[in-house]
Amino acid sequence: MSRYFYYLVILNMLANVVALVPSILIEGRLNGTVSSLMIAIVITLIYCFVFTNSMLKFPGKGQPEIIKAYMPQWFSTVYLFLLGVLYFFSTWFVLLSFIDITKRFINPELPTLYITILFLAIICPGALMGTEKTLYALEIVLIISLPLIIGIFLKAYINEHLNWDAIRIVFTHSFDAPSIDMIGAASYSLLGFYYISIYNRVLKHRLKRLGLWRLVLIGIAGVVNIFTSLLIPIGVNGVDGAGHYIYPWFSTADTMRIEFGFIERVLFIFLLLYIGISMISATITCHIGLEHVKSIFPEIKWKEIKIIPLIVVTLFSLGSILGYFLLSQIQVYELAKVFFTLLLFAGAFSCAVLLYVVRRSKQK
Amino acid sequence: MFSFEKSEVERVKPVLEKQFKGTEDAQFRTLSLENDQEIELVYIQTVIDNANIHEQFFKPFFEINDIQRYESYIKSLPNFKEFKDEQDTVKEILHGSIVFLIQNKVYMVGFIHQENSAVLDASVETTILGPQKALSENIYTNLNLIRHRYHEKSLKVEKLPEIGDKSNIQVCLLYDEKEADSEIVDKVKKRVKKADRPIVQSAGELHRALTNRKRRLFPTLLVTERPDRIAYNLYQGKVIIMIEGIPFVLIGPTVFYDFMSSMEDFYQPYWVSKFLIVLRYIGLFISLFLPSAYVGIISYNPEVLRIQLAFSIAGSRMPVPYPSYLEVLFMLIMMEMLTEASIRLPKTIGPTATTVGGLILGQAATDAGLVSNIMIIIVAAVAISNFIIPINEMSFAMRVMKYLLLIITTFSGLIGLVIGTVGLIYYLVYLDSFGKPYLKLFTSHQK
Repeated sequence: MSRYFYYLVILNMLANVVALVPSILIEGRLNGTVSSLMIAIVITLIYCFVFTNSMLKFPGKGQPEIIKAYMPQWFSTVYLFLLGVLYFFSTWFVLLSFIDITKRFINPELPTLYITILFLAIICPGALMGTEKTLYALEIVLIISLPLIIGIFLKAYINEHLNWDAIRIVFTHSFDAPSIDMIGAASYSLLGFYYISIYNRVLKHRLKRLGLWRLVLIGIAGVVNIFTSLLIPIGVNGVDGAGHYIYPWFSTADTMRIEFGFIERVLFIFLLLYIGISMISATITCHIGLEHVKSIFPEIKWKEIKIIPLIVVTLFSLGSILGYFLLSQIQVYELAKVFFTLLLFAGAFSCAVLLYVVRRSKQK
Repeated sequence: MFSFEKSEVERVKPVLEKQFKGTEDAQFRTLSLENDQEIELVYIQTVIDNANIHEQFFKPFFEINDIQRYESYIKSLPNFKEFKDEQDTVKEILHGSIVFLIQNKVYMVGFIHQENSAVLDASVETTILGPQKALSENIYTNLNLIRHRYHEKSLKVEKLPEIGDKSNIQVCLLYDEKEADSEIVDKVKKRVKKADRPIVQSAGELHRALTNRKRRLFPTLLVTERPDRIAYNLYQGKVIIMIEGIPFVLIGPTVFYDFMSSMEDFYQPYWVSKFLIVLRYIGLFISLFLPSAYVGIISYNPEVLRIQLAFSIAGSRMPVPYPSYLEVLFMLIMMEMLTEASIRLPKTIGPTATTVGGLILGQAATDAGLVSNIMIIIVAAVAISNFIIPINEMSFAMRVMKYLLLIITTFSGLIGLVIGTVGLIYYLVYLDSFGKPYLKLFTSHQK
C-alpha cells in the first residue's frame, strides 16, 4: 500500500479545512450540519471506493490514457478538458483564499498583484515538474507541517476556553434538513482520492486495491477532520460569534497562545504552515489540471521545449490574476458554493464513466 | 595480408621524429650489439622512471645479447602494450611509455614515474575516530588504497577515454558490478565521453563538465578525499570517477543526504551519530533561515515574537540608523569576506585576519551603532552553523542560497520566506543525479 495515496488524501483534507469550507459550514451551523456532514461523508466514501478501485484496475495509467483508450474521441476531448478546468478552478480557489489571507493577516501593505505573482512564480514551475517530483515535494512539506498542525488542533481541543456548550447547540440541530451547499462543502475536503487520476501513473505496483477497512480509516480521518474544522471555531468564538468571521479558523488560531517559546501567538505558526500546505496543494491540483488539458493536445515542441504546458500555465496565471480583480470576496464565496455542489454531481458522473470504462476493458 | 603496406616501424618512426625531435627531453636512443643488430628506444625523459631505466632495459639488453630473446623479455614485462597505431603510440609516449623499435616491430612498455604519489592526510573531511589518511595524487596509488579497503572480486576498474583536448587527463571508473545499476554505469560513461573541455584539473571541474545543466548551484555529484567513504559508496552501488593527478574522486549518483553525512556517523555509537545528524540539520536550518527570518520579523511582523523578545531586539537596534536588511547584508558580507580571507591567506597570517575581523570589527561595529548586538550573535551563529555541513560543496551552495532567501524576504516579508523555502524544496526535488531523484524523504537502499 503506497503512502503517497494517503498523503494526497490528507493533503486535501488539511488544505481545505481552514479557508472556504469552514466558512460555508459555519454559515449553516444551525441547519442540520451533522446530517449534512454524515451524508457528505457517506457519498464521498462511495465515490472514493468506486473511483480509486476503478483507477487501480489500470496500473501505471492515468485517467487521460484510460479515457482516450476506451471512449470516443469527441467525448474524451470534451470530458478531459472539462476535468482539467475543474482542477484549475480548485487551484484557483486555494490560491485566491490564501492571497486574501496573506493580505489580511501577514502583509497588509503588499500589493495584491505582487503576492499573486509571487505565489504563481512558485506554483507554476512546481506544476511543470515531473509527476513523481511533485509527490516528493508533497511528502517533505507534509512531514514538516503535519505534526505541528495536529499539535495545534490538539491544543485547540484542550484549550480551557473552548466552550463545549456552544458545540452542544450545534448538535441539537443535528437532524434538521440537510442542505446541498453544506454537503458539497463537506465532501470537498475528502476529495483527495481524485488525485489518483494522474498519480496512478507513478503509484504502479505499490497500491493494489483500496480495501474496505482502509476506506473506513479514511472515513474516520475525514469525520474527525471535518468536525474539527467546524466545531473548534464555534467552541472558541461561540455559536453566534463564529459567524462573524470571514476566516473563522485564523481568528480561532489567534485566540491561542504558547506560554513558553519565542513565538507567543499560534496564529503565525499556523499561518505560515498553511501557506506552505496551500502552496503544495495548489501545485498538485494545478499539475493534475495541466496533465488533463495537456493530454488532449498534440505534443508541440519549440527548441526542445514542450510548449503546450507552458501556454496552459500562462493562461491559468493570467486568469487567476484577472479573477482576483474582477470578483469580489462575496462573489468568490458564492462561486465556491456552486463549485462544491457541482463537484458532487461531477463526482457521480466521473465514477459512472470510469465504471463503464472498466466494463469495456473487461469485454475487450 | 598487408605485405605491401609499410611495416610498423616505418609507419611510426617518421611520426615520432616529427612530433618529438625538437623537444629537449625526448630521447631517441639506439642500442646495438656486436653483430650490428640494433634496437631503438624512444621516450620522454621527464615522465618516465629515469632512475631505473638503465637497470630495467639497458643492462638486460647487453646481458641477453640476443635480439629475439630481448624481444621476449620485453613482452614479459608487466606493463607491456602491443602496437595499435601511430596516434596511440604518441599518446602512450606522453603518458610515460617507452617505445621499442625492434626489427620492424613496435612495442611499448609503460614505465611511468610520478612525483606525487604520497598519500596525503585527510584535511577536508576530517574525522575523529576514522582513518586519518586520504588519497594521493596518483591514480594507481589511489586504486591501491581503495582495493585494500574493498576486497571484492566484483569491483571493476574501467579506463575511460582521456578528458580534455589539451590536458588529456586519465579517468578511471570504479564500481562494484554486483551492487551498481548497469544503467547508471552506462549513463556515467556516456556523460564522461561527452564531456568536452580543453583542460580539466579538478574534480569540481569535471563535475561541471559532466552535468548537462550549465549553471547549477547545488552539487549533484559528491567530491570526496576519503578512501573509507569511497569503499562505503562502492558497497552502496555508486559509481566512482577517479581522475589522474587529483587527490579527490567524484561519486555519483548522490542524493541530498549524502552531502549531509559524515563518515564519523558510522564510527560513533548509534544515538551519538543520530544526535550529530540532527545537529547538522539544525545547523543547516539556522544558517539558511536565521538572517531572512530576522529581516522578515524585524521589518515586517515584529508581532510574531513574544513581546519581551521583540522589545529587547528593538532596544538593541535603537542606535542602528537603517532598516534591518542593510544591517544583515552588511554583517553577512563582512563575515563572508572573513571566511574567504582565511581560506586564501597564508596559514601564518590567518589568525590575525580572524582576530581583526571577528573581535575588533564586531565590537567596534556595535559600539559605533552600525549594527545591533543581536545581529552580531546571529551572524556568528550563521557562520558557525554553516561550517557544520560536512561536505564543503554543499556548505558553499547553502551559503549562496541564504542570500536568495534573504532577497525574497527583504522584498516580501515572512511570506516570502515561506514561499522561498517551498521554492527551494521544489528546486531540490526537481534536480536529479544521473537519473536518481536528488531530494526524496525515506530513500530506500534497495536496487
